[in-house]
Amino acid sequence: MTTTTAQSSSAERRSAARRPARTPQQRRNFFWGLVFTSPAIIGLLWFTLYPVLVSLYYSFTSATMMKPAQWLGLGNYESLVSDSSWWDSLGNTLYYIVVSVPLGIAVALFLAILLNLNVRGQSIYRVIFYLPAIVPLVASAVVWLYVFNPQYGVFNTVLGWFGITGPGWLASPEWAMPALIIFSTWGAGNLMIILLAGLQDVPQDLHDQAKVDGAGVFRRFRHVSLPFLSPHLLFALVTGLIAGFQFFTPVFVLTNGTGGPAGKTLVSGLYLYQNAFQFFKVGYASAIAWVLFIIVGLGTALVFRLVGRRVYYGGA
Amino acid sequence: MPAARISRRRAIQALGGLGLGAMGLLTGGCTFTKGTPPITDVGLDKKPAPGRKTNIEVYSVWGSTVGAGMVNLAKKFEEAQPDIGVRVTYAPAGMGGGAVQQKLFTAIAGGNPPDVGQLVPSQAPQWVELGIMTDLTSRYRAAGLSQDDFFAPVWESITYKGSVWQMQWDADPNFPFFWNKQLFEDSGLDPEKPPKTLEEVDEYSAKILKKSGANVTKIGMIPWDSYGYSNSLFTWGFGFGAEFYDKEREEVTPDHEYSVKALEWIVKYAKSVGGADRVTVTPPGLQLHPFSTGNIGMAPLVAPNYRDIKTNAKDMKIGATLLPFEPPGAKAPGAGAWIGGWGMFIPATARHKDEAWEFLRWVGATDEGTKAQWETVGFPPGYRKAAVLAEIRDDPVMAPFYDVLTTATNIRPPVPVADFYFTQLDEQISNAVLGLSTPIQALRTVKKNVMGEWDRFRKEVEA
Repeated sequence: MTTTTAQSSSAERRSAARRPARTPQQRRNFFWGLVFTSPAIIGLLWFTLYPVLVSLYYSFTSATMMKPAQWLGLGNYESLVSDSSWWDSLGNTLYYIVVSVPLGIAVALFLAILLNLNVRGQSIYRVIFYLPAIVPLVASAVVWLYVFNPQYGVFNTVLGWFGITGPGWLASPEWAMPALIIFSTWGAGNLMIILLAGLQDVPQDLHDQAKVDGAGVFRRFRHVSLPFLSPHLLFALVTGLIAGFQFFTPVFVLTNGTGGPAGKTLVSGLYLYQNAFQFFKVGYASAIAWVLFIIVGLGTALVFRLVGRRVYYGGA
Repeated sequence: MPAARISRRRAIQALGGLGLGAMGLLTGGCTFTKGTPPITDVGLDKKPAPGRKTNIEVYSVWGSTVGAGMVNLAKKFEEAQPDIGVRVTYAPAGMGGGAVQQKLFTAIAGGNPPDVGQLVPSQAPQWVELGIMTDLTSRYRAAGLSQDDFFAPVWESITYKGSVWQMQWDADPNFPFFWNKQLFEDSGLDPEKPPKTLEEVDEYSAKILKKSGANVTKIGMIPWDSYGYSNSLFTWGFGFGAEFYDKEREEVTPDHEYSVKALEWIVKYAKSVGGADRVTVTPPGLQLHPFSTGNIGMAPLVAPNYRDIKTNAKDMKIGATLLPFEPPGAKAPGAGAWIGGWGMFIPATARHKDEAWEFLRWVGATDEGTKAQWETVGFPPGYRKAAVLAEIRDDPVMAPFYDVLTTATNIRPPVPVADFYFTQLDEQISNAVLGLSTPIQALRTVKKNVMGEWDRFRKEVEA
């Protein structure tokens, strides 16, 4: 008994040394804090964590939404490997990401640099270029259906002025995905704002010093601005990668959910949707989702490993 | 001469101007809107009439005018009897021509189903196997309704494995064949002589074709776009004499000899105009069917499209006949026609099945209900004995559809993986039309994939 008491009191002393005892007021605050945050916590657990865990379970079953699910083990994952449509959808998704993410970053960076220049009416230009980012995606996509019209659309009309017969865009197997990529750069305004904020954080005195040393515009951008922008660019790369794997709404609206023409715009998100809601293969769709999650995780880790160490965090 | 220098100020001003210009073009410069704008979600949240013994909930997949028609139909049902109130809830269908009804599926899966849902008839086998639908056989029998009361393709659609599962209140006659008399005349064709065979369609098409550079600006017909790739192949495949499934062997047959011939013809047609992606006969923003532009010589049309064209393009001279056919597989004009449409069903877990059945029966299989449906929603009934059919026969717009309704023998293949089948057809026909595979390769791929999916589904259902 004595020994136990001695041990307990020793543990209590160690605990007390680490953390001072809460006062009654602190305990009350903690309790009410929990009460007031509990709706959000419960919502997160019930509407996010629970469905995520259920989808993991479903990915090992024949879940259809309508009938009791049968345990399939790794069956869905094995089927994925031999599913040519899934491989095609993954290929289309990668094509979209590889082109649209760097292009989106380049466009946003270019606009941010221009909008960082000290010219009259600067704020108006910033509004103009940010405006597309706040238009709802579905509404933008509907408008772009007009833009991509092969005969009457803006693109082919402009190309026609130069004697070029434009492609069929969304009707053409070669040009449908490039059309979607062009559309996605339309919303570069969000990223542009972030990069603009980054550019404005670059210390002016460093620019001045570089100028005194004889550095030109490009060298100052390369050696002064770019290092300060690198955390923002890493952010853009990682979020662009994740968003690219979730690409869905524009392709759903612009191709009427078919993934056409000839399956060239069937991206992973759309294939997942088709399986879940059109073919009642909820288990299979869950497996697609989890494989995507793993790919996104690995891709993000790879980006951090390859690019993360080159990022400059100011004085940190 | 020194090179002109562009200042940063100039550069950004020019870019701003470009941005403004592009926005102007995108938002206002491309509107060629024509036709009657849709009535948006009018009265779609209809509450039941007060004081009824029982209220049922009916899901409507339609907004716009058809949705408003459903609401009025429900009101007429309430006027016809004192006991049942009807709530109409908007539950839009997504992609796939009604295949995806997320609200309906989640309501059923969540244990809160409506009393009446809508479906495309060919979906029934899969929904039956998944336990979604109520068997209505005994109710049909008790109401004295049998095979004789419905058009033959309709009866085939609503039955599966010897039982009746739905009430096909809309028998969509797909399709009469229409031609633009003015365009025929302008192209040196006799405006009163439509083609009877697909060989004649080719001859006429060659005369109608007009191009601007590589783009097609006037075309005889767009045979790969008769309401989507799969519907196109069904239409022209039947027109060649094809069959798309073998009921006895429980096997899909997209690679049927005449189906392959039909796709070969479609592919050849697309090549002859320079490629399917070069057809630009429709201005953007057009709410009417592209046939209304006057740039398409011949087209199969559904009733609402034809009605809209007749209302909004009054000067257009349009002829109507039966679909051209292709011997030796098909024997006569109109052989390609099939019956599509919509059915109503009672979910297996619905709470008010008796009252729901009263609604179904009234809408789809009574003189009073079919007439009310015709006057509110405006679709031809599948009930062969409906008195309103005489009215439809005498309607100048609907007369061609009446002819198809009373003569068509085909339906889309009602197999348990129908939507997978149609999606596969859409993808593979698209491949063939765009020259990425041959017709036979495309259709064999469809068969292989669909049979694989059917096997998987069988095992899943049996498990």
